[in-house]
Parts: sequence; structure tokens; C-alpha cells
Amino acid sequence: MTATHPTATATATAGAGRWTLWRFVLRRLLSGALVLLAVSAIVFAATGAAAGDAASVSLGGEADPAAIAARRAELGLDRPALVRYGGWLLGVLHGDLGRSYVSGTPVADLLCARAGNSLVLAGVTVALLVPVSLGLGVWAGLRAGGLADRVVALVTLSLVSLPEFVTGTVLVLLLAVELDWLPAVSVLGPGQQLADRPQILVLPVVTLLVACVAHNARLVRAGVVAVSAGDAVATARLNGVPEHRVVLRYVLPAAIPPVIPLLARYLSLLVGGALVAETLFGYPGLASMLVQASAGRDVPTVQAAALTVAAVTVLVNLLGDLLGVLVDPLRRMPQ
Amino acid sequence: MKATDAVQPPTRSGRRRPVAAVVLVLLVLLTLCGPWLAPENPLVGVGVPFAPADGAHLLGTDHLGADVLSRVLAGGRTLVLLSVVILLAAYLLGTAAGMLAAFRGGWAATLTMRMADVLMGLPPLVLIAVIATGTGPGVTGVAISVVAVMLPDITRVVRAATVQILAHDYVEVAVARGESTAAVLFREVLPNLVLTLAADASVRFAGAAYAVATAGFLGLGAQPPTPDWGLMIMENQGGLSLQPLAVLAPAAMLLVLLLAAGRLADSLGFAERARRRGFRTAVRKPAPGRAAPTGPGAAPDTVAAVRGLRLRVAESGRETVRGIDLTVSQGTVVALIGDSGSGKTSTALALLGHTAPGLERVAGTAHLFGIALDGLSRRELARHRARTVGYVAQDPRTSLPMNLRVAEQITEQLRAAGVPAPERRPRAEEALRRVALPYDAAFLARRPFQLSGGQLQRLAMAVALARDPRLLVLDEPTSALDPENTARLLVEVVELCRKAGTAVLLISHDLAAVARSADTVVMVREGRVVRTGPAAEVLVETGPTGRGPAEPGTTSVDEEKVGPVEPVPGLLAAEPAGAARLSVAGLTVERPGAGQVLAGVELTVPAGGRLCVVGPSGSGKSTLLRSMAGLVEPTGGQVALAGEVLAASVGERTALQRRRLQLVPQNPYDSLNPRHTVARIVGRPMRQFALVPPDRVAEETLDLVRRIGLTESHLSCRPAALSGGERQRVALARALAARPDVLLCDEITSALDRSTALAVLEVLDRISRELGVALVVVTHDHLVVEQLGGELAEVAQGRLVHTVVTGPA
Repeated sequence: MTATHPTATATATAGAGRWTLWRFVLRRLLSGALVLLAVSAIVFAATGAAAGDAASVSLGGEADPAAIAARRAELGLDRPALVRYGGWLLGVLHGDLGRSYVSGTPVADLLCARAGNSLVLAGVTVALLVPVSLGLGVWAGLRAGGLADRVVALVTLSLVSLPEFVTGTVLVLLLAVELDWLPAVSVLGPGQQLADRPQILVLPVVTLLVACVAHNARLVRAGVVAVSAGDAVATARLNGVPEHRVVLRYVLPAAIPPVIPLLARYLSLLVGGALVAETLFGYPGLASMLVQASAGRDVPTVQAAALTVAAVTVLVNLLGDLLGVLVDPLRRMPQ
Repeated sequence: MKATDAVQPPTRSGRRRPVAAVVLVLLVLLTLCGPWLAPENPLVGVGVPFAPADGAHLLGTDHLGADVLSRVLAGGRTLVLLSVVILLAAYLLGTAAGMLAAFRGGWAATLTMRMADVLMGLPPLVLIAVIATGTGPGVTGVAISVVAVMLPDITRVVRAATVQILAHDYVEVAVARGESTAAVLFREVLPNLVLTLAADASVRFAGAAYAVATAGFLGLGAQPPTPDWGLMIMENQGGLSLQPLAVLAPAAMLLVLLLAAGRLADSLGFAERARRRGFRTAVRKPAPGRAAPTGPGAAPDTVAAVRGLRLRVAESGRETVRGIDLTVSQGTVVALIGDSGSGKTSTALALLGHTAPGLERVAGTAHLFGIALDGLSRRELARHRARTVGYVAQDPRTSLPMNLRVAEQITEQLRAAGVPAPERRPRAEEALRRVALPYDAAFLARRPFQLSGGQLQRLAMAVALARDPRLLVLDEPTSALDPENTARLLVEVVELCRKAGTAVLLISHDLAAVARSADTVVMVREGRVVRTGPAAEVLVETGPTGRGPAEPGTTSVDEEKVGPVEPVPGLLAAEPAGAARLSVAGLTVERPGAGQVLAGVELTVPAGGRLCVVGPSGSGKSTLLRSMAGLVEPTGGQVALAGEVLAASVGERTALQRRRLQLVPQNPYDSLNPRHTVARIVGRPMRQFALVPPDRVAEETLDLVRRIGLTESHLSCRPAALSGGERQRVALARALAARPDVLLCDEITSALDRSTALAVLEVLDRISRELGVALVVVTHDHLVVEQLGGELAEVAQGRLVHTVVTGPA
């Protein structure tokens, strides 16, 4: 029975909580690194088949076998796969991502030029996404079953089913073709930076928002509804706790923290969405680079872009989990 | 917010499903037949590029001059077929992997978890791009990647569902009966898995179609000149201003397909979330002419009263409360008792002005301290409650919010009651002291998950008592957690209330607790008050069974259904009586971590004999039964049936041995496979052991079902359509269908209320005599001992202490 030494036990619990938190961070970091290693192996293995033909692909259809063999040797493709994987991984760790099969420029340079643009696109989207979906989800969740909730549910459900390229196309048709307010494509001229033409961000951001807000708001709403229908909230109401205190003290603190890691998980949707949005608008980002490289079977570029995307995804999930644990006392309890 | 509003959502989401389903079916048909309906060859140009719509080309032409209508009609087939193929492949692999993971556990489970982790780092579309680099663009790469994306998740779902199904008692019964692994898998697990899988697949279809279409758009899927909606949207982007139809037409088709699929999935799987309304308070029903703001005008010491309360289930219209009057007077303790589902909790909540979600009030008024609750706004009602009432919910593990610290749990409610801030903390400490909890700073800073079950229960009481309510409502405080400690706490709390002059409304089905604390007892049955009076009087009349005297003109549900039982000759009487006797010698069971659960149990049950084993929970009663049934392997000792020593594990026993020893598990809500009919459940042992020629199984099943007091109409029912008592009868019938010599009954009345338990015991008593079956009954319920009689033994310190031979046996 813990009641006999409450002080001692409480201190022990708090101490254990802190220790658990550090162990949790370490464990997640380690597993994140392992996931990346596994991803690198999958990426290398999956693209490996294409690497085999890269020599003939890069020389065009009817090259003579001797030239292909020479090209293979030049690209280092005559070595065993495991050796090539080891060499590639070592290079990645040193920042050497190889050269593009298509343009011959170092992949690291291509990546740097584009990663910044994608970061801006994702940053702006997330900065708008989180407050909008939290607000909408909470608002609808507190009115569960009411008219407002049903409207939000209907709209978000429709938007969830909507592929980004359909949303994007409709937006282009309306805002660029019909109204001519915004550029239909988000390309930059030679030497131009994003800061020179910030308006090209608008359509990709809105396209991404439309898809992701729907998902996230539904998630938040579900959390709020589940807590609102629970025993604790019912008991508080039956004891006459006023409604605003019920929301502030009983519903939100219980509903929001568990949703945070899930929101982070949904950010992988954002990555997929970015792939589509960047391709649709020709936005000079990492995702459109990946798609182009994949279609052109430019193996080193695909590998580098995929690995970068994976690293970012793992990191975001780690941060989401960490944030969830930090704001949710329940999850800090020692198991 | 009127109570009647609660009716709307279910009907709405119910209506939505067929519409989405019809749209989806039509669309899928259209896409599958589309290529034959296309007026032109979709693969070649038939006009100038990007020509607008005209009579020849209803939707114009695309970037190559091909007919858009023909391409749209032809362009959905690949999408739909590919999505279906992907789902089939993913579910086939996932179901196999998930079941394997559930059976094997260990590495298989770890592997699937890790697979999911890795794929989380590689978003689906990125994986498609990576795989397409290897395979080259095309549908094969897309199919492989989408299956790979879905596989870990499906495996996880299947594994979780299988693990859950395996934990059910009906699986254990099948194992104890010696069903093969394949039979367990295909008969017990798979039918229950199918529903989960169907709901899951409906959700994933939209996901698969979305991925396939997007891959097409990105140029990684179907290649030109194949007609494909996603690809068409990309190809014709350049002509968006000239010929928007070339993009909009495939976009619209895609949209309708995904929307209908998503909608259907949503209404199948997730609708009930939207359906379950938030906990709405305040039934504000204008009751013109009757709204007397000064209370019912009766005795001045009435603190709370409901008059003529009638409630019904919103969806079915079935009345659950049929005209109840209830009054609680100052300083008295009123107990509201009755079987579960009799309407006692709904009545108590009505007293606080609340109608539970899903119910609606047909008639009746509620007054709390002289104020008619119907006339109050939501805010006024909250204030009135906060200043007068303390409500303690049934289970403190769920009713105390996990995010609030002990001090906050109390101060938050003191705040609601208008206690000024500086007084809250001292009063919180005082409240904790009153319920004998620590009240130092460290304890006040804890959160509910850092407290023991007993502490939680005391805290829940402290929260309600802190603001000195004038009425304390305790909702089934004895049904959660450890019953003995709860009963003690209840007596303490009632004592506190008596001293403070607080009225108490106690809702319970625990008669012992009521007898110790209540002044007045109100007994409710089927939505009506059947008895009111001083506690001593009502409880004496009612007797120990809690069944109460039958009212003239009414019979209980169970009695109606049982009917007279005509003696059925044959069946089990054919078995030679005599010989078999069960004997256990030196039975010892150790559990890792828990030490010895049983330490040398000795027992003998003669043919047709009876043994009741009693003991507190956790004393090893169930373990004793389960080790006799071969489900728990003992560390020592042996079990012998009719002189034959039985193998420790059920798998090594002979079919005959398994048949002669049958187990009836504790919980009838868990021991019957929800996907099987009564006929199938009861008939199965006869088929398995080939006791009856296949063509006579139906007949024999009917005989047996009649003997245990059910009728022919029950044969086609699934367990969900049966009451708890009927289920337990079916469980008994299944065990008897194997023609056992010994029936092992594990707490078979614990999940039933008193009157139902009594009826089931009567059947067991009668039929075991008729068939000459020996009984070993484990229980902590004295009703069982009284009803069945026989030898009584108690488990104490892992041994069996034989006490007396009692009763009529």
C-alpha cells in the first residue's frame, strides 16, 4: 500500500519519470537511426535493378556492348552489390551522394539547391496547418452531433477523399486561368531565388493545406469527441462544473496531447502531397526532383532524395512523439 | 437542446450508407464496362488536339486529339481492377502473416512492428517513386509498392484482432474439447475476423485507388497511350485554358469514385463515433402548466424528487422507465436497487436533470431542493447542481480525469460551487482527511494514475464530499474494484453523511451493502417501482436471492421463456451410469512470479456427486478447474478420471477423456462464439465426438435445448440475441452435448443478476440429476451453494479444506 509513505513514493515516481523520458529519447533516436539504415537498404536494393541498366540507358538505345561495359566500369557498376552499397553508404555519411546519371553534376549540389525551397514550402504549410486543424477539430468536436459538426464532418470527409492533383488542378483553373490572380506554374527563371517570386508559393501551399487540414481536423475532432463522451467529463457536468471549465480543464488537456504524435504521423501525408503539388506546379523542390529522377531512372538522385525525405520524416515523428510525451503526463508514467 | 434531438444522427448516417453503396456499385460497373461503351478508339487521335466539346466529341478532344469521352470511359478499369488486385494480395499476405504473428508471437510480431516502423520513414508515394526507379514506370511497380505500404498495417490489424479472438472463452472451450488447431482457426477465429477485415478493406479501397491514381498522375503508373484518369489529368494540364474538360472529366470521375468509397467506409466503420452524441445535459422540455417552480409541494423536508418519470430508448422507442416516482428526504439514505437494466441509474440521473445519451424523456418532472429542473438553462442547472449535489460515478478509474492532480480534482469542483480561492486548498485537505487519505503536498500533487484502486475510490468520494453537498448520489459504488473494501468505504461515507445531515441516494445491486447503510429501499424492476419501504422490511421480504415476491399477474421473463419442460427420453440416459469418478491427488500449480497457487489439492467426486469449491477471489479456484481441464499444466500431482490418470495437457488426453470432462466458463457473454447459431454451438460436440449420426444431430440438439429450458425458436439465434441467462443455458447445453461424466463449472452465476442466476441454477440442478452428471462448481456466491448442495470445500493457502455436506444432494 503506497499510502504509508506517500512522500517517498511520489519522489521516486517523479525521478523514474525523468529517467524514463531520457531513456525514451535515446531509444527513439537509436530506432530512428536503424529505420534510416533499413530505408537506405530498401532504397538501394529497389533502385539497384535500374542501376544495372543505367549504363545502357545513359548511352541511349543501340550502344555497342564494349561501350556499355566501359561505361559500367566507369560508374563502378561491375562491383558486387554489397560492396557498392557499402561504398554508397560511406559516401552518404561523408556527404558524397554521387553524381547524377543524367546531368553528371554532384547530387549533393542539386539537393542543396532544392531542399531549401521544399523546406520553405513545408514550413509555411505546417505553420498554417497546425493552428487551423486544431481550431477546426476542437470547434467541431465540442459541438459533436450539432449542425456545425455535421457540416465540418461532411466537408472534411469530402476533402480527405480528394487527391491533391485534383484540388490543385481546380485551384489552377479558378485562380490562375479564370481569374488570373496567381501564376499557374511555380517555376523560377535562371538565377531567380524564391524570395524574388514569393507568390509562386500560394497555390502549392493551399493545395497541400486543403488535403492535410481535413485529415488533421478529423483526428483532433475524434479525440475531443472521445474525451467529451467519457466518464470524467460526464461526472464533472453532473457535479455542476460550468461548461467553460469543463472544456478548459477536463476536455482539452485530455484530448490534445494524445493527438500530437498522430499529427506528426500524418505529416508523411504532407510529404506525399508535396510530391504531387511540386510536380503539378513545377515547383523547384526536392519532391519534384525525386519524381523527375524516378521517371528518368537517375538512380543516385533518387537515392539521395528518398533518403533525405526519410530522414526528415523520421525526425518529425520523433519530435511529435517527444512533444506528445512532454505535454501528456499520462505517457510519462513508468511502465 | 431538447432530448428529442438525440434521435437524428443515427437515422442520418443510416440513410447515407445505401446511397454511397449504390453510387459506388454503379460507378464500378461503369468503369469495368467502360471500354466497351466508348464511342471511339480511345488510343488514337480522331480530331485536332484540345478541340472543345461538340456534337461529335461530347467532351472534346485531348492533347493528341483523342476523344475525351472514350478515354474517360476506358480510363477507370485499370484503376479499379488494380486497386482490387492490390487489396486481395495485401489481405491474403496480411491475414496469413497476422495470424502467424498472433499464434507464434515473439519474432513474427516483432518483425511486423519493425516493418511498419521502416515504412513510416518512407511515405507511400516516395516508396512508389523509389520502386518505379527499379522496375521502370508502370503498374507492376505501383502494385508492389502499394501492397508493401499496406502490408504491415493489415498484418497488425489481423494480429490484434486474432489475439483478441483467441483470448475469448469460446476458443478456450474449443481447445479444452480438443478441437484441432485448424478447426479452431477456421471455425472460431476466421468467422469473427471476416467482419473486421471487411470493414478494414472498405477503408483501404479508397486509399489504394488514391495511390494508384496519384502514381498515374506523377507518370509513374500507367504509361501513355493507355487511358488512365490520373495520367490524363497530367497530360492535358497544358490545355487547361483551351479545353478544361480534358482535365475536369477524368478528375470528376475520380472524385466521385473516391468520395463514394470513402463515404461508404466512413459509414461502415467510423460512423458510430459521430453518432455517439456528446454528453448533453439539461433536458429542457417546456412543460406548460406543470412547471411549478416551488417544488412538488409535498413534505417540506424533500430534497429531491422525480414524478411520473418515463424514459425510452430513442432509436427503438422501447420504454426503459415506465412511470417512476422517487423522493429523497433530508438526512435520509435511500437505496435504489434492482437488476441491471431495470432503470435505476436512469432514474437517479433524471433526479439531477440529466437524460443519458440515447434515451429520451417521455414524461415526468424532477425537482431538486425545491427547484423544477425543467425550467433551468444549462448554465443555471450547472450552478444549481454545483451548490447542492455531489455525484460519484461508478468507476473511479474512468471518472477521475487523468490530467488533473489530486488537489485540482477537488479545487476545480469547489470553484464550481462558488468557494473562494483561498479556502479551496484547506478544504481539499480536509476532504482528503475525512476519507482517510494522506493530505501532504506530495500526495496533493499526484495524478490519478499514481494512485491505487482503493485510493482512487476514496478520492472520488472526497471530491464529492469536499463542498459539503446537501445530497450525495452514489452510482453503483460497489460494482467496481474490490467489493469488500468498497463496502467498508461505503459504510464510512454514509456515516459521514448522517453526521452532516446530508441526504444520500445510493444506487446498487449489492444487497449486503444496502442492508448495512440504507434507511429506505426502493426496488425497481423493468422500469417500475415494485417495492418501497424501510430497509429492514423490504430486504426481509425479498429474501437472500433478491428476487422478491412475484407480483400478481406478472411473471419474470425467464419463467415465461422456460415453460414446462417435458421429459425427453433417450439421449444421455443411454450412457452407462456408475463407474466414472474424478479424483485429484497432490495437485500443485506454480505461476512464475506468483509462487504456488495450489499446493497439493486432494479431492474426489463420485459418479453423479457434487462438490462446491468456495474461496475468495485470487485463491486459485479457477486455476484448480482449469488444471483439471488440462488448460493449465500443474507442476505436480495428478488428475484421474474413472481410474485413468489424465495427461497434464489437454492436447495429450484421449478424445474419450476430453469428452467425459467438460468445462463451463464463467462469463456467458464471452463463452459463445458470436458468429455461430445456438444450433451450431450445441451441435458441434455431438459432431466432433461422433456421438450422434450426422442426420440426427439436429433432432438431438433440439431435445437438449428444450431440456435446458429454451425453445426451438432459439436454435437459429446467435448469442447477441440472447439474454445472459439464456446464454449460460446454451453454454451448459454445449457442455452436456458431449455427454460428460463430470461438469466443471467456473463461477457460472457471477455475470448474472440474482433472479437469472437462480433460474440457471435450477436448470443445472435438475438436468444434472436427470443425466447423472457429477458437478464440480467453483463459486464465491452462497446462492450457488444453497441451490446445488453437495459437498462444500474451501480453498485456503492453496489447499482444499473440506467442510461439510450440505443441502439436498
